[in-house]
Amino acid sequence: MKTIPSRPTRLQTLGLILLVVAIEIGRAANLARSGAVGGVAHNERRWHTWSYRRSDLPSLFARVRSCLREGDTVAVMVPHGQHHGWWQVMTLYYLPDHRLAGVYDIDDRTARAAARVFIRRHGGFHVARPAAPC
Amino acid sequence: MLIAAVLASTLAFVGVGWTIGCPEETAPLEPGSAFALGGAVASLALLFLAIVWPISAPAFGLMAWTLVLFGFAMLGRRIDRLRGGDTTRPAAWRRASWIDRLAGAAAVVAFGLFVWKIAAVQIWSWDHFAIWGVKARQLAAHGLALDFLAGPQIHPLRTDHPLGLPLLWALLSAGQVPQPLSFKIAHLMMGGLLAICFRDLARRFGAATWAANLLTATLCLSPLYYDSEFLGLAEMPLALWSCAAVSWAVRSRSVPQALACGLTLGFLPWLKQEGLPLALLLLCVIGAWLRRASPAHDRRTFIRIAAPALALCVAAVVYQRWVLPPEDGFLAGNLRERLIQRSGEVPELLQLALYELLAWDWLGFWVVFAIGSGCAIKLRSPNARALAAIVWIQSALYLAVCYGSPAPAAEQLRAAFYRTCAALVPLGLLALAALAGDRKDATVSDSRALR
Repeated sequence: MKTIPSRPTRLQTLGLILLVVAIEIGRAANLARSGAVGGVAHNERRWHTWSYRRSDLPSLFARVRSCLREGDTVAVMVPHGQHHGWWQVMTLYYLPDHRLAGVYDIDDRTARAAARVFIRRHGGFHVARPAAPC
Repeated sequence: MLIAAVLASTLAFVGVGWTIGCPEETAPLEPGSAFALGGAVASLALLFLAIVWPISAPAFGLMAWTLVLFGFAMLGRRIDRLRGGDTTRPAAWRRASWIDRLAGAAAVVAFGLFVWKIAAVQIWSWDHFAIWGVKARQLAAHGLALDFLAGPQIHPLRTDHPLGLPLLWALLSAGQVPQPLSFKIAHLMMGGLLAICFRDLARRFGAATWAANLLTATLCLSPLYYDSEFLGLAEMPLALWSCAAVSWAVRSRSVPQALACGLTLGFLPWLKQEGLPLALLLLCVIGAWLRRASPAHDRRTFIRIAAPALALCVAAVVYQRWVLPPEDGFLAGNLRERLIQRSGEVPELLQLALYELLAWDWLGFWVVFAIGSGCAIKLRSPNARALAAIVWIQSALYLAVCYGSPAPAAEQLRAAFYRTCAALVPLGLLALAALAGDRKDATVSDSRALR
C-alpha cells in the first residue's frame, strides 16, 4: 500500500472545523429567516409549492372527519379545475378509516349513495348525506 | 402519547436488535445497528405472518404492543448485564483533545439544526402522501390484510413499491394510525441513529476522532438531513439500513452477528426498490473484505451473511411481483425502443445530472468525493475503494433508471436523481473516513475495518 506522508496540521484541522461552523451559522441564519416554511433547500425550492398546495389540509380533514360516521364511504366534490388525483391522494392519506368512492367535480351527481364532502375553493367544506347534513 | 409510542417502539427495536445480534457480547453496541436489526426482524416477521394469516387492525395493534413490551424486557436485561461493565466512555471523553471536542460540538450543532428544521416544517413531500405515508396509515387502520392495495380507490398509489417501511412506521406508532407528528419523530430518531452509527463506523474505519466528528457534522449538514423533502420518505431509512449493514459486517465475528448482517442487508429491498442493487453491491463488497481478511475461515461467515440476505432479496422480488398488485414499473413498455430514441439526449441528461450533483446544498460533497475516489484508487485503499465503488455504481444505476424511465428522461431526472443520490452520502463519507484512516496509518493491513 502506498502512503501519503503528511497528515493535516492542527491549523488545517482547525480550518476545516471553522469551515463547518461557518456553514452551520449560515444555515442557522437561513432557518431563522425562513421560519416554518420550507424553501431554503434545493428540492424545497423546486417542489414545495407544487406539492403542498394547501396548508389548511390537516385541519380541514380533521373537521371533515368529525362530521363523518364510522364506515362512511366518502365522495369528495372539488371545485372545477382542481386536480382530482391530488385530492384523491390527500383524502386517502387523511381519512384512512373511510372508503373513498371517488373524487368528482362539485356539480357531479353520480356519487349520491356516498357521504359527499363538498370542498370550497378558498377553505371550508360541508358534508351532505341523504338524511343528515353536517 | 404519540411521542411516547414512537420512543418506546424505537427503544424496543433496539432491545430486540441487541438480543438477536449479540446475545453474548457484553460491550455496548451502538443503537443504530441494533435498531435496524430489530426493525427489520419485527417488520418482516409481521409481513410474512400476514401472508399466511391476514392480520386485522386490532391484532396488529396488539402485536405491536407485545413487541414493545418484549423489546423493553430485552433492553432491561441487556442494561442489567452491561451495568458497571463499561466505564470507558467518560474516560475517552476526558482523553479527547480540544480539537476533538470542537469537532464533536460542530457535529452536535449540525444535528441540532436538523432537529430545528424538522420541528419547524410540515410534511409536504408528494411521495409521502402518495406512496409511503398513505400506506403506513392504511396498514395501521385496516391491518395487514392488504386488501386496500387491490381496491380501485388506490389507483394513484405506487402499488409496486415495497411495504417494509410503511409497516415499520406503523409498528413505530405502536399499531396506531401514524400521524404527521409520528413521521417527524421517526425521521428525527432515524437521523440520530444514523449519525451515531455513522460516527462509530468512521472510527472503525480508522478515522481520527476529530475526523469522525467532522464527517458526522458534514453528514448532518447534507441534503439528506437539511432538505425537508426527505421527511416521511424512504431515503433516510435506506441510508440508516445500509450503514447498519456495514456496521454488522464490520463486527461479524460470531454467528449471530453474521446473521444480523444478512438480515439487515436483506431488509434493504423491502425499504425501497433501489435497496435491491444496493444490498447486492454491499454483499459483494463484504465478501471481498472477508476474503481478504482470511479466505479459509471467512467463507463460512460469508455464507452466514449471504444466505439470509439473498433469501430476503429473492423474497422481496417475489413479493413485489406476485403478491402486490401489479403496476407499470420504471422500465415498463418498449424499453429497447425508448433507449434508442433517447440516445441523442445523453449529453443533456449528463449535464442535468451534473447540475443536480453540483447544487450548493451538497456543499461540494461530490467534488470532494470524486477527488477522494481518485486518491483511493491511487493509494489502493481497499475499504475506501470498495465503498466509493458502491456509491458510483449505485448513482450510475439511478441515472440509467432515469434514462430508461417511461416518463420523459429529463423530467424523471429532475424529480428523482437528487433525492435518490442523497441516500448515498453516508456511504460516500464513510469512503472518505476509510481514506483518512489509511492516510493516518498506511501500514495497517487491508482488513482493518473487519478485524
